[in-house]
Amino acid sequence: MKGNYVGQPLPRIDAREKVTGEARYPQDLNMEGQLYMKLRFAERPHARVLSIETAEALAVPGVVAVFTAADVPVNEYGLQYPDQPVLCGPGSDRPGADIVRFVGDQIAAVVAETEAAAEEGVKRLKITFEDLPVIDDPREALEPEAPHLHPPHAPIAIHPELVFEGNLVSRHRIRRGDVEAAFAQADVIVEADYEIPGQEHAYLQPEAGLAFLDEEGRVAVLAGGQWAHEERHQVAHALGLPEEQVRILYSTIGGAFGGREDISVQIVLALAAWKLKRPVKIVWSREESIFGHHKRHRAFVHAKWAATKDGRLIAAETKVIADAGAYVYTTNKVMGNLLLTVNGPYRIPNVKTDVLAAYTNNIPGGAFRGFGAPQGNFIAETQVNKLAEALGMDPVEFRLRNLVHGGDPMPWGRPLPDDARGIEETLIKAAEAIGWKRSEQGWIAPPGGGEGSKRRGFGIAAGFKNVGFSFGYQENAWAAIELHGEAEIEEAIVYAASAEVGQGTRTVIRQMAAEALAVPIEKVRLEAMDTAITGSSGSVSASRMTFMIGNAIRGAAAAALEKWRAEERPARAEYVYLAPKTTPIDPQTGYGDPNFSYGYVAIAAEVETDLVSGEVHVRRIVCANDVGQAINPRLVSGQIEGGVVQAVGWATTEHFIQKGGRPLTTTYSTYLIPTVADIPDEVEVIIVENEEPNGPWGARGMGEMPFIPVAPAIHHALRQATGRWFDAFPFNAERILRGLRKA
Amino acid sequence: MRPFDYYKPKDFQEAIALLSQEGKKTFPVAGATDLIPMARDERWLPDIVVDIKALPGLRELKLIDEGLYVGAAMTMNEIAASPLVKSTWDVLAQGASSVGHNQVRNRATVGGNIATSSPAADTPPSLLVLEAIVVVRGPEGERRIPITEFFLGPRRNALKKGEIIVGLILPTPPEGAVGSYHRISRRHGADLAIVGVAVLAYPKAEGFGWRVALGAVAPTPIRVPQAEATLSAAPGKPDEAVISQAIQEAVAASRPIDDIRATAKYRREMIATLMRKAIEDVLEKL
Ligand SMILES: Cc1cc2nc3c(=O)[nH]c(=O)nc-3n(C[C@H](O)[C@H](O)[C@H](O)COP(=O)(O)OP(=O)(O)OC[C@H]3O[C@@H](n4cnc5c(N)ncnc54)[C@H](O)[C@@H]3O)c2cc1C
Repeated sequence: MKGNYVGQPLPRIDAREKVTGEARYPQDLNMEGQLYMKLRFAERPHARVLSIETAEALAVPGVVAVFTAADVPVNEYGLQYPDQPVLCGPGSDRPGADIVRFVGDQIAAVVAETEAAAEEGVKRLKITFEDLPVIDDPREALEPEAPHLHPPHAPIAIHPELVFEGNLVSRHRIRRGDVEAAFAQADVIVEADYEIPGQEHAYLQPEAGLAFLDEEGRVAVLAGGQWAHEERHQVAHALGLPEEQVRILYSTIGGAFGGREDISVQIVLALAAWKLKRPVKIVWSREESIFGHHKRHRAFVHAKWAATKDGRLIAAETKVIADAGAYVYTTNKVMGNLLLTVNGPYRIPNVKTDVLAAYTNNIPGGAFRGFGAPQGNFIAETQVNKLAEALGMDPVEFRLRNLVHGGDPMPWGRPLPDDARGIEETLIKAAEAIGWKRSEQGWIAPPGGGEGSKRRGFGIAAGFKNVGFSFGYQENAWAAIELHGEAEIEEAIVYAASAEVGQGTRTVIRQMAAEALAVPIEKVRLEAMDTAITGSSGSVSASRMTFMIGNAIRGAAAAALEKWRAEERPARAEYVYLAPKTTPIDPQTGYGDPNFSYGYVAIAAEVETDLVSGEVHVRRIVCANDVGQAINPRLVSGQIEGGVVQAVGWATTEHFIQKGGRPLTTTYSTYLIPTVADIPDEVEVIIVENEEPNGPWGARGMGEMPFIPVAPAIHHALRQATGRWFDAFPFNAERILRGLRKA
Repeated sequence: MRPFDYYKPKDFQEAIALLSQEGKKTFPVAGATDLIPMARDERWLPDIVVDIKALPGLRELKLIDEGLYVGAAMTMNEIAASPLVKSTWDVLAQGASSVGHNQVRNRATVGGNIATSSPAADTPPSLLVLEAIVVVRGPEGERRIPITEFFLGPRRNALKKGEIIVGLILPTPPEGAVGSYHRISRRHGADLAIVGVAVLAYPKAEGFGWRVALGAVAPTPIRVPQAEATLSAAPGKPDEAVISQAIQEAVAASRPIDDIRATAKYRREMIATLMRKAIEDVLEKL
């Protein structure tokens, strides 16, 4: 539902400060008397730390302190499960905390009067290691003879999927119908092995932060994250402090994409500031950022799907083994989403899905835009494109015959919570925009072609993903509104703990508040990103924030207006929005009602390749995305263009390579994100608006959607261009040429 | 980054004296596009850095009796845009315009490109087919090094301590010569070449003379004499059989490695692909 502000393409409120350089990122912030921290990272994938000698480091002029495992009150942390030591080494009472399990594990923090002294101090640390065998492949990690990388972890009731059986971190499954019986009746079966690569977030701003004691004696950490209140919880836990003693503030943040969901610098900074009673600052280099934070999960897949001659999908059997890396991070939740997306938005009566994630000595796998859906979607959409081809049926036609409609059960036994019209609508709009035609005989794909050694092809993929936290978690978001003035509202202050990571949340919050209060937007001021003055609005992830905070703002605005009418001055109201309930899924069958809302998206791609070099160029991407109601269409377009480009990078130029637990791509000359010369010539944005019944003004989440079906659509286009399927990506020139040479 | 002393002398005597100091790590610097990334990682730890951009003649680009003189501190963008270069030595303009991205090309110099002596650099294949002469000044005065003798290995070259590349002499190629440079990289914007191929051909009494040079497929950029001889022996324009044979010979002369950018196998295939493209380009223009 459009309004005075909702649905309007307002310029983002932080545009000016960002382009003029006024915006202050954590690197830019300094305090009087601050100290500098440098970390000693493990730099080896698996080893026991036998000893740490700090004397020489402490003797460096300017070095004030060296912190090691022995100094951390509760030496463990983790967003889903506290399986990672804050500092690895001897002297900790946690079992296994003397072991480094990946190159980015932190061993010691050196704090000094200058950055140079801290750096020198790190070099002077004398550490002895006993190297341990390295596991760098999750399939190997699950072999019975593989050494266990962690001491036994106790399962916890709220995360039944976290099984901790040897190196097996999490297990998800769906059991529905009888796939074997279906295979016996199938007319076509498509069976394949896929290998899906990891990905680096490559945000502009590497990790940095400043910790200090605030005027109330709390330890405060000013950094960039995605969920301030969760960080407060983790910092307090590790420092053994009550949460009230800890405060998290966010400055301007240079991108996140899921990469800031887990702790990086926050705990060590807080520890040092708390113990030294002085401000402490840290700035990571790009290399430290790349090996120091998690990556998109790499996954190995076997899939066997079946259909009948009349174009009905009848069975899907899929097994995924994903690389969790050294610690859990959000692996179990990412795998949950992979599970829900890996069978596509289709009616499939017989489903057998197994999704396993295993510990290795690689950099941990974790949250990254799409959160398991890009991997799941690549498998589902590639299988569907292959089945359509095997049936001699157009892939759009084949999808239309199998898409769920309102009321059809998904593989987890329940229908999508709305009528899910957006799936079909986005598919048709994307397909038509790139050249698919409807005819009497059905859908017809645009013809490929090309001149000289160049060949063009077209591809299509459909996708969906949940919005918000789910699987039984009571999703919630807090907001408060304070109305100042006498006869008229002169100022409306919105309090919300929504991290601005570049997506535009500060702008849409003001739009939604102005709409809800019916005041001019100029009167709305936003106070965000400080746990001292806000409740928890949850994480900026899972495409959830606009949906959740919008509903919280609506509640707070209604309550504040009521108080205003009752002459309260200022009129202040707080509101916690609780999303519709979800349930966990059954660990054996996958049955349940795991989500309250979904977003729908389709991608059509036109790709060109050179048959003599294998070079790939994505000419055009059409993204049709059902966003319910675009609160700000300009920001929605920005999210779509950005998401598409990021996914084109994952599919073509990027390649995060680790060998023997060592990352080989820790610089931007080896890890290649697309430049302006590599992005599609054109990204066409089609905003579809089927209102979400529970969304604020009908909005549904969208931040992740445009990323999700890009890779399979490019794969499909390459099939038409080359006559080959590649089943692994990135689709770089060498892979394409190798595929072409294969008989 | 470790601190160092920086000088920007205006005459060679001072520059060479600074660079010749014993017991100190001394380096000339031009655009610093290679040096700064190395300094940041402390792979390069100089004591003294001598900026050579103010030295006489280093920023000149002019016709001389022997051909074209290109000052060592001319940037990639200046070379790529120069009508003089494009007139007769266009293959160098093509090489220069392939380097990095616009910002890098505004700073990167041709002297720095060859002094770095990366096997994957983009101007050396063109300089090889143009038979450039490197003009060097040092403690013992001026000397000239044919480009074929300049590169000794990855990041190794014939320069001695205290020596500065003053410029390059590009002899005027035989009448009617045309050249082509092709390269492939994993990404279109700012990525080092996986393979680079320069081809130059010119009419001679019977048929054509050919020169072919390869980058990124051996410890140094190389000429491939056997392939050149095969092409040049053809009575007129080389036919498919001759081209295929020459390509095979060029591939055989290469010694590519597997690295993070590409496998040796792919590099060999790309020598063939790019050499064919370059030959086809040249044949069209001959
Ligand atoms: C992002 C990026 C992308 C790049 N892409 C490419 C590419 O695609 N292709 C490519 O070929 N290169 C590329 N490079 C490398 C680099 O830009 C070139 O090698 C450049 O030509 C070096 O010139 P410079 O003037 O910057 O050298 P500097 O960094 O100043 O010096 C490089 C070396 O040469 C020495 N030197 C410089 N001038 C002289 C002189 N006159 N006499 C003696 N020694 C000298 C220095 O001591 C040093 O050892 C790239 C670099 C960057 C940063």
